[in-house]
Amino acid sequence: MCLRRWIRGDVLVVLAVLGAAALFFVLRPSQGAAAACVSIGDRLCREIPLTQEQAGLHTYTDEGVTYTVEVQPGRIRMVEIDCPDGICVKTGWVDGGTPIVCLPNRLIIEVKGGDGLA
Amino acid sequence: MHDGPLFRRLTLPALLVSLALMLSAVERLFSLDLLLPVPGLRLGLPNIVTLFALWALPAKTALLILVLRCVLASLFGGGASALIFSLSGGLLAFVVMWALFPLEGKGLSAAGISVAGAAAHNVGQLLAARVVMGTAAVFGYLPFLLLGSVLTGLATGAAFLAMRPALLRTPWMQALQREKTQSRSKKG
Repeated sequence: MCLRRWIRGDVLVVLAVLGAAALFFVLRPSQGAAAACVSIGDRLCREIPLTQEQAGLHTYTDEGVTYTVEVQPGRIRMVEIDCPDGICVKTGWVDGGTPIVCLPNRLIIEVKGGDGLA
Repeated sequence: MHDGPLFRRLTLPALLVSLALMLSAVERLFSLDLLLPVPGLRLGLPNIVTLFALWALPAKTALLILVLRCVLASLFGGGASALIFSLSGGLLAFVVMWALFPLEGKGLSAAGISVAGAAAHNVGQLLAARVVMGTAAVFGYLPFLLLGSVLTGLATGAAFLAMRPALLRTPWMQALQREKTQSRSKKG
């Protein structure tokens, strides 16, 4: 009982810090609205926001290149594009750092903003 | 010898500064990335020294020890950016722990104070990172840093609590405690 009273404040401090962590974790996506920038050749064609509302499959045609990407909050992957090797499809999900590159179509998808700082 | 003003105002603070510098060098040797993959997360071992200084010495002396430690650590390695980050984190942690210390033993132990200090340290560092890097995206790290600060704060607070009984048995610590109670009764 005595010990419990002694550390009650400690428990409160720990809970407050954990609560703040949870709060900032929930608030986090609104701060880090990541977007995928699609460029073909040396032209920036499209910015796809990687948000919950945008999630799902999308097919776009830019500069004569038709491609299908799948979006999830904070990440993107190439699903279908007309090219011989399919390296961009094999790249899988990207969330910053490595871009998706399709050399035959001179297409590059880079994820910017969000948590991709690491 | 060990209870004179020279010891209290020069020797002990100097020892504590060098101890804190040594601890920050030790903590740089191993990273916590394996435990929690958050860049910049440290154990905060020098915080044990700040805890001790706040507990045993006047707040002014504790602040001096902290600032000297930050300045010297950045001189030995790290440079100006390390100074900005360690000072912003250290000063905010100091203010929070200094504000909480009167509650020690009244529902709060050094472990809780240490957790609050560690959390404040991370917030201070992120505020500095916000200014230096010019992007609010750094706050995306805050939840993970706060989570880490609970663990590291409990660890350093427990370390301080574990060594305090041994410290209280030393003659110089007893002399310091006597002085503290005397100066308190004079004020009261």
